[in-house]
Amino acid sequence: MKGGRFPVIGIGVLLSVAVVPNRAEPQEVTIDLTGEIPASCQLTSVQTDTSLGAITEQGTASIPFQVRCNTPFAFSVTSRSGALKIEHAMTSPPGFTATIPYSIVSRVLTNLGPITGTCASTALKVGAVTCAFPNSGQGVALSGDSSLTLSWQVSQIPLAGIFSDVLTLSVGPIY
Amino acid sequence: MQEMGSISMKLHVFGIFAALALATSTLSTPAIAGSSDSTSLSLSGFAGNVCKLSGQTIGGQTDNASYANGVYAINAFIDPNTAFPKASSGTITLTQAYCNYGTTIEITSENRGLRNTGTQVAPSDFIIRVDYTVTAVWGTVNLPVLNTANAPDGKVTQDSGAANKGDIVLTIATPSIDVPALSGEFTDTLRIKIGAQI
Repeated sequence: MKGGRFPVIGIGVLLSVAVVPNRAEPQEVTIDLTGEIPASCQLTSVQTDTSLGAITEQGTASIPFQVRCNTPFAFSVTSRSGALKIEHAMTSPPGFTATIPYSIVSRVLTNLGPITGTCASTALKVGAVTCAFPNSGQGVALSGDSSLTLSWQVSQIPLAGIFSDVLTLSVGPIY
Repeated sequence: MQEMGSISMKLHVFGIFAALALATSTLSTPAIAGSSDSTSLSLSGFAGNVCKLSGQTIGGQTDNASYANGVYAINAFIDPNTAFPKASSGTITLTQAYCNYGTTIEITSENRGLRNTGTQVAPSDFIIRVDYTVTAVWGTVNLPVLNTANAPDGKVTQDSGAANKGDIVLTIATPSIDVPALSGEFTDTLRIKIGAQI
């Protein structure tokens, strides 16, 4: 029976020795934290329907909107018809016009100041765009108060009727 | 104790992962809007119905007539020997008249002929009215001939069919008549109107 006890005590000592060093040594875990904020650009407060009133004389109209972009961005505009165009199909007799081209001056506010550009509507026609508005460079847009100013001249007599066009505004990251 | 230490460390690591997951979730919310944006806006304006007779009015080729400052005058209205009215003719051009919609042109003789302005009663052998004709064209639109002798309301009208722009050219002609005209002044007012009825 005695011989049978010693092995039991010995095992107990060994266990005690094994635990002590773990308490004394410091332990350290290093975890690297990384996160990514995606680029995000938005157009807000866009006035989707703009009435220009009577267009038989030269005139201007301003359309406000906001750009929010947390990265340098490009801004573009396209025109469905390339001009204000009479809504009902009509052959224009000599001396009259069924289209009224206009110019667009864009002003987009960034943290580095406003960026402005000018394009003729004819150069913004979908599928035949030949004019681009400047990008924001290194600027971003936080509040982004912006506007498009449209101006038109009447060199020929407009036919009586409703004239319309549809502009598409786009904004997106440069990089 | 070893197990205790091991358990404690696992909990610690789990806690960091949980915090990291929460942070990632919060930061990723704006990305839902997408990295680019695009929107369309409609523009509309209108051109109302407009007609203008703002061009110059000029006299053209004449025969026994003249035109100046809105007055068309027959130089020798009668033969001084017979008092018979003499023939005359002349053109008047109203330049660049236009309507930007389909409308009508109307020419009206107010007196339905040249009428003697006097009040005396004309003896039966004399005339106090001389009829005349007006042939008119507005650009490519031709009007019916106005003959004051057979125009009960003294006017002719023509539909332009569409927007029209061009000179209105009037050719006025008075005939020679073998009946003496009563002494006095013979006048009429010719009105040219383009556009819808007011």
